[in-house]
Amino acid sequence: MNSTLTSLPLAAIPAEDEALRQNVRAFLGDALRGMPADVRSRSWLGYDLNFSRALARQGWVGLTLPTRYGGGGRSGFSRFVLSEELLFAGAPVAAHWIADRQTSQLILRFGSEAQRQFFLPLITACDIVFCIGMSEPDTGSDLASVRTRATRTDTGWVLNGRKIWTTNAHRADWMCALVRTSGTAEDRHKGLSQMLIDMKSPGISVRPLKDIVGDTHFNEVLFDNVGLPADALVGEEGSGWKQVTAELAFERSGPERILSSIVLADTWLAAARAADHGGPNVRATAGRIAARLAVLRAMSLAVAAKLDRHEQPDLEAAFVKDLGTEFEQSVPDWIRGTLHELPATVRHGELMRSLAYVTQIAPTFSLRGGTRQIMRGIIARGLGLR
Amino acid sequence: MSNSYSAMWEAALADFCGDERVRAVESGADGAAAALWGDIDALGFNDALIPTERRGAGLGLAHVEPLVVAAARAGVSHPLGETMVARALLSRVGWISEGSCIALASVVSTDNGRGWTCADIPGSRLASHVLVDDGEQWLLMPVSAAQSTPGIYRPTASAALRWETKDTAIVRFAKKPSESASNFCNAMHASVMAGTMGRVLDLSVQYANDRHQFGRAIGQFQAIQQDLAVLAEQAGMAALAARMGCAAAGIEPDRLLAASAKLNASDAALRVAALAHAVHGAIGITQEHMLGVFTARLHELRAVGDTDAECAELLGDAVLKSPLTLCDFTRDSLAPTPVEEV
Repeated sequence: MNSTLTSLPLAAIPAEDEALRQNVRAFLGDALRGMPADVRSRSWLGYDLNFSRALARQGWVGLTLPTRYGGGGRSGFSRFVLSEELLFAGAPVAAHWIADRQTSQLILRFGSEAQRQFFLPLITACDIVFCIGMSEPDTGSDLASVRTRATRTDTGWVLNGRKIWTTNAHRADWMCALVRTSGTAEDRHKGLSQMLIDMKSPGISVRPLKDIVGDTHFNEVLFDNVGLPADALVGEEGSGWKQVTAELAFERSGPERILSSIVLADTWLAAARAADHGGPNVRATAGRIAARLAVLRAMSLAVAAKLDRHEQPDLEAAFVKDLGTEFEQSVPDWIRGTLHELPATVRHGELMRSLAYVTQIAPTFSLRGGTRQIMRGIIARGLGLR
Repeated sequence: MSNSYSAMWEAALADFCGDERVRAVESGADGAAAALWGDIDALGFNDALIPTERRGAGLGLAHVEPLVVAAARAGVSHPLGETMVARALLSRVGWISEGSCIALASVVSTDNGRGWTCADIPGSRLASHVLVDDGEQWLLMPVSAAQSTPGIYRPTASAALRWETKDTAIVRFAKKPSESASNFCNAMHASVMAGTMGRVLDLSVQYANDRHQFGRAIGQFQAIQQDLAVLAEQAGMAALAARMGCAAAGIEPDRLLAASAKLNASDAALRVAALAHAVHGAIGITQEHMLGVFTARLHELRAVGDTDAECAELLGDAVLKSPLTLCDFTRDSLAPTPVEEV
């Protein structure tokens, strides 16, 4: 019954993949020099196209894609190491993150050979930026109720509808969107397809939305009779739902579900060490962060090993995502509870700016990629309750 | 982790360790504890950690951890993991156990160098001996020679023990510098908590499927489903943490990994117990239901040995003294190499 995690064997990163770490770290040390902690705290929301392209020149975008498409041909463990290092450092990865993590995998698995040959080399060079169109004004957690519709024409498709919360739509060259190609919203996941949309197409308008701390990353996107070619369809018509859910274990179990507040934690730790280790609350908090981080990392790594063996750890991925995001969200308040044990000088400046940012943005950690309640619903199904 | 010997072990426990027997042991029914221990000892796993050259199975902590978890899940009240460790330590001095059940404890207080006390020792009333860490050496003390105060959470299974004099010791022998009862107990108690939480999850899911309100099983309600999902997550996290705490090929747990296991298991146990009782409602608070037997163990283990706060401070000290970032510290000190199965 509930042998889900009791049967999850501990995994270790193979030495050849671990060897990548030092090179990435050296590169990031140079590339991010002087970037303050509160900027690095933006983690995978931080956008810097020049940085992403420099990373691509190192061969670190599309690391797991086959070499024939410009990828690195490396294992999932290599990518795990690379992701960890980028997140530890608070590297601004948003320009390539979506394409690298999701869209390239989709195109590789479900795309036509022509789509692979066209898109994958552009992604690995970071010559194009992708966004993903999932949510709509009336479609959030209930993704199967998508209404944006692509209708067949003589030359391809015509697209009408609206997407919202689309990260980086205002800077993206292309969107990968989940749209309805047949039936109605009542038909649920039947009749959904995935489309690759050139954001320069006539009829697309993008309205940026400022977030709670004043940053701009998500948007509303309107499609007004947008003409798409026949080969905009990726994979099979009507298989969009299956294609979207196929990648969820990758998307929900990686280090990015654990490390969103790690820059803040390390900034705080450096302040605590400089202050001669603070008091009992500082010590206990340092211990608690390390202990929780250790078990969650082991869990994430064990899921990565399952993915590497081509198993389907969807349920374990839901565990990682809910536990991981809960940890990420706990860190700011754990840290706030120790401030009285640190010198007054740390009560203003970089640490506090980083703390304020993470405190306010933390609710997003358990919203993006499937809300906490959705994850718990998946787990309840795994327990045989649904 | 599942292999032939742990599957055999689980099957044997399922065969002879049912709820009635667990209840009888836990309530101090005459002869119940000794009879159950006899059945467990007959399976031959209690000498698993003794080296082969001393006629043991020569297994390591990582290999017996699934057995300790499974026994806790089945409801075994005895200090099984502690017995395995104690017998391995005692084999150094050639002490023959003759089937004894042995608890592990640290001395918490002494009065004028004479009498000394070990606070609540889980399962010690079911044991014949306690292997005591007095800070300098190991002493094997007979339970029968101690003044016994019933355990706070499990009055008939556990006890605080006080001995008038160390002269009562049956065996004394040197501790290795790294050895301590608290470290062994952190790893073993985390494993017991993980198994216990697994059972609490089983009980809670079962109850949610059986209990009907508003015309359907309460497990059909989203509010209950969400609570049970959290319970499952916490139990799962504790299980993995316990496995990491015991990820040693020898008998001695890594100090930091064991502390991390106990801390994570203790944090999880609090939420698991609260959620399980919320799902069960009033029946879970009665002695007629098994739930209380298992949640009492969770609360007991949170309170004995190194508490969550002590584990957190122990780890925090190591983190603060290290020059490494949190992630590097974790990779360096809290990422055990998987141990080969046997």
